[in-house]
Amino acid sequence: MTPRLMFSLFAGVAALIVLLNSVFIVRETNQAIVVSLGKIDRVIAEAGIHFRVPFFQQVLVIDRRILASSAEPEEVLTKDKKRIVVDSFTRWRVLDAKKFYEAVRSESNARARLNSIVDSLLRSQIANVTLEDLSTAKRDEVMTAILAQANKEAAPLGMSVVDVRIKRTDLPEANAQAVFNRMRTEREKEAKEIRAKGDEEAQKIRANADKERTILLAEARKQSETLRGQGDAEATKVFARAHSQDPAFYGFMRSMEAYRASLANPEKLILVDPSVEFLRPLRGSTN
Amino acid sequence: MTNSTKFSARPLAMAAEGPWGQKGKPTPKPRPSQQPTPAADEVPDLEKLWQDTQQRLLHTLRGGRGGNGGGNGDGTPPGGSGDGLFGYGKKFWQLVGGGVALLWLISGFYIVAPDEQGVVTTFGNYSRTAGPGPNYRLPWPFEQVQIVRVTSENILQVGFRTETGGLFSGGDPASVGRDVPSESQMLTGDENIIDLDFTVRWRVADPEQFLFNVADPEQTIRDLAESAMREVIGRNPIDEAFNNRGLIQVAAKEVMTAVVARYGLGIEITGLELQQVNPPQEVLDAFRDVQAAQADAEKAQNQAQGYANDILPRARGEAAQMIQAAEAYKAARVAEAQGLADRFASQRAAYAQAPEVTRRRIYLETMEEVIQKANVIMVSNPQQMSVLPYLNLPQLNRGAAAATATTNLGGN
Repeated sequence: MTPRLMFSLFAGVAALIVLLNSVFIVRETNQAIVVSLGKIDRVIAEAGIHFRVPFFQQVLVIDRRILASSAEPEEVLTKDKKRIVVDSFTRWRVLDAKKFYEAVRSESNARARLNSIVDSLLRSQIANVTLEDLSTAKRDEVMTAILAQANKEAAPLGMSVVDVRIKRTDLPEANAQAVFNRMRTEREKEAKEIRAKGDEEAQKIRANADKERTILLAEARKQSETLRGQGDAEATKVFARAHSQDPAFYGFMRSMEAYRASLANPEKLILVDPSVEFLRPLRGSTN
Repeated sequence: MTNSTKFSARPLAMAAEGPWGQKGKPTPKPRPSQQPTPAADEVPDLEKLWQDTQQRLLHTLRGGRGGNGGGNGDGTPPGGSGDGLFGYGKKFWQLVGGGVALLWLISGFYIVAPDEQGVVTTFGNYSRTAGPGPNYRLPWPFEQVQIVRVTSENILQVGFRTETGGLFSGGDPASVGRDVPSESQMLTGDENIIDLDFTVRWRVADPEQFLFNVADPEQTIRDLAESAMREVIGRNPIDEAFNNRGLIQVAAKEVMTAVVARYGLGIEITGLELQQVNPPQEVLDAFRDVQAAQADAEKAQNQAQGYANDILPRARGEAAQMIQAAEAYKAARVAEAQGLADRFASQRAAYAQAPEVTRRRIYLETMEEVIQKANVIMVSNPQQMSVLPYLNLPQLNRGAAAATATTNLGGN
């Protein structure tokens, strides 16, 4: 290999190294800071290919997307002194790369700062509302206030807070047990009421049935007595009509019938005066 | 920090196998030159390039050396010839260079499947979005493509995981696998705790936004889904969550959609479905007992109704029987009276013909019968009646049969 060839090879390699060191690519998801000997030279917000002075300038890549950050779940106190575990998450982005680099340097630092900001805001804001309000009407209000305040505090760090959201609001374990007990007793109460109402309904149905039966039978009895009475009346009328044609004969016949029915009985003892009509022929014969 | 490798790994594999079959087809933007240029959007004419290379190959083989043309410099240098490296001629190195350049150019082909879109970046800068079909981009390091599925739905499971469940797995959302209580238990508006599982279906609506706007979009969607559901459940009492699932679903989806738009996530929430809404395990038996109580109450009422259904028809039957009996009595009484009246009328008619005789006969017949059957003592003198208190009446009674027999004999 000739020296000339060696030299051109060496020159080529050197040129390539210089070229690679002076060119850098910023991806669509990133922005970059060019640092000249420790001092911020410029911020590159545009994605694409960019140039720098080789060896003297360094490139720091910073994410341009919305980034996630979430603190550990925290136990906080509401206004009505209820303890809840709040698990929040924050979405943020780097708004001003220069400030960001100067203030926090790295993403993990930024997350730590942001978490402490959001954490203290959650504590202070939730302490102002009751648990009921936090669950319902005032939730949006609280979150909006936290977001606004977080943005104010994060702005000097070159960050913009896109959103703070409560992921979970749970009761601490001890309180959860209390809630379970309350839920259980509530349901037991409900079950008892349902059963009692069922029995009430059932008793009403039975009583009603008994009442109807009694009424039904009484009505029937009334009707039957009426019918019997009608029958008796009819019979009486018929008898009266027949007997009134000859009351004397009827009286005689009825008397005879009555004697037969009442006296013709060995249990009866009759003392008879022989002068009665029946015995008159007997007396006449002895006379 | 980025997860772009997930998307760029696929097109490389496809580009390697894809373009050989398409040799004859015109490429989307033909260009007469066979030299690669770094300009974006411009594609060399593959066919012409291939022909050129073939010609050069033939030429080289005819004029240059034979032997191991495939080796890339590991052959032993034969040492004589002055105008080549490692003993190979210039033509050989041109051939090798051309081949490498060709492979490099070909690596720019990629295929986008019908349910995908390709997002092309030139030096990291977004340049275009490619639709389905074969596509070309300038090879590395000029352009890169990230392929994103856009039409297929992704299913996110919250509160549970099916065994094969992952972020992009299209598992059956109805089958419930492992429960994740930390996700599924939440606080309702009336400070009860509820256990619910749900799924979120989403698809990429804007690949550019999806790739570039938000770091870790999948985790973001999961966080959003959880917070949206908790927000909605926190606004409602527990019974609402049990009985009004449709409303809960709609509200949670609305919250999610609004936040997704605010973040510029580039996705569309296509559906949000509650899978299971249950009381927590700890109080499940109490809730079940409420249902049991409902059944018990119904049972009690049914039994009472059964009692009513049993006694009322019987009572109606009894009433009908009573009335019928009365009707019968009435009819019988009237008929009997009629009969007796008729009999009396007949007797009277006969009696009227000889009243005295008949009257006497009836009287005597009656007396006959009476005296025959009863104990009769004849007392001729009314004064004798005074002995009556001294008579031993029971004794008399005992001898009654004999006395009667005597009287009978006397009477006849």
